[in-house]
Amino acid sequence: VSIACVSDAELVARARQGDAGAFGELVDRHRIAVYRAALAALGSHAEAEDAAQDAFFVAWKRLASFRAEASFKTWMLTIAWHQAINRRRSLTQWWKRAMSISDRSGISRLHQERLEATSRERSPEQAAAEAELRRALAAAIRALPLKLRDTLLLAQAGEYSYEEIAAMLQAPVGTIKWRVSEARRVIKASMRARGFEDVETTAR
Amino acid sequence: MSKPLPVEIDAEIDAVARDLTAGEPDGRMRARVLARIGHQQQAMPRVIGWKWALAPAAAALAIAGWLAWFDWRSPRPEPSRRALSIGQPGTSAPVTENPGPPPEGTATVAPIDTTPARAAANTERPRPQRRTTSVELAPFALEPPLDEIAPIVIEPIELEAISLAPLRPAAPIQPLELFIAPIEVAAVDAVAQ
Repeated sequence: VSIACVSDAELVARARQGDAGAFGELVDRHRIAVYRAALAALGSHAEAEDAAQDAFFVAWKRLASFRAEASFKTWMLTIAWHQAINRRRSLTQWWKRAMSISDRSGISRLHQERLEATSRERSPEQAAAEAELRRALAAAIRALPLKLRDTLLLAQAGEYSYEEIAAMLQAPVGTIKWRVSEARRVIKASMRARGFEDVETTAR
Repeated sequence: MSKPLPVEIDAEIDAVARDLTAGEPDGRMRARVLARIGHQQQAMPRVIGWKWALAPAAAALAIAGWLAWFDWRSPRPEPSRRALSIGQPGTSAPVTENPGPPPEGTATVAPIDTTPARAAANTERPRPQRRTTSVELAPFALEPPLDEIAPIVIEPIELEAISLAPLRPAAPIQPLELFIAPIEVAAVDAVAQ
């Protein structure tokens, strides 16, 4: 039987018996989800990479305490989130780095690619307006309170259900949904404060 | 000049937020994690061996502690009883942990617990049978005997005589004469003018 067909629970059982290969398969299956959770918390690809690695190592050591009350992925994400938050607290210069223009290695690279793609499709004026809007939105997201920003980024990462986010952030699902909505409202208010106006208002 | 906020701003927010968490980890994550686990498993036996090396020392410490406790708990003669047998070679004195009332003419000092609860407990609680042991005390002799001690001689202290020189008569004290300049008072009429 190929190991790819084996369930997470079976792999966990094998890993508990000391099968490092089974745990390696679990790492392969969930590394992107774990990594993106760490990235949402840390905002830096290098830090997220280290935090994800730490999270898998901690999970290996705590494997005996996994009781299958939740899925392995949820349990793993909870560990990863705690690791990332601990790392974020210890990074005294984290905020400066997150706000730094020079930190374009990961997040801003994607922005740049997207902006270049849109500039090829649209007129220079439209592309410039689009780029300015996205930069302003990114700044507004980064300026959100931590609880709102973490929730919004996890919700938009495309890897987690609301239930998994609720388990990670240790909050009810309803609270998670409210935070996403509140984050959008705060961002819109921030954009208006930066000189952006609703289309209807502008048309008048 | 105001900048337009698109109608589909929610979709734009979601797209930017998605970009902020986009990306994939290094493909060697699995290898790194497994290498770290392997390193930890190799380090584990060394830690266990180090702990087992301490086990004999811990056992020896425990036995030494038990022996010390046993020695402390074993009965030993009280100082007052030992004092009775000084100078009486070969006498054996029964020693008990709770010897009861002292014989007449013997002064014993024992700690007295004067708290009411303790006193009540002492009177109400039946006293258990204590085991009695006999202790052979070796003869005790004072060296040297008291009558051979030499008397203490106090030597006189010699002091030189102190001669006092006669005092010279002091010069008489002559107080200076005070001189007060005469005060001139102007006429009242002149001041008024």
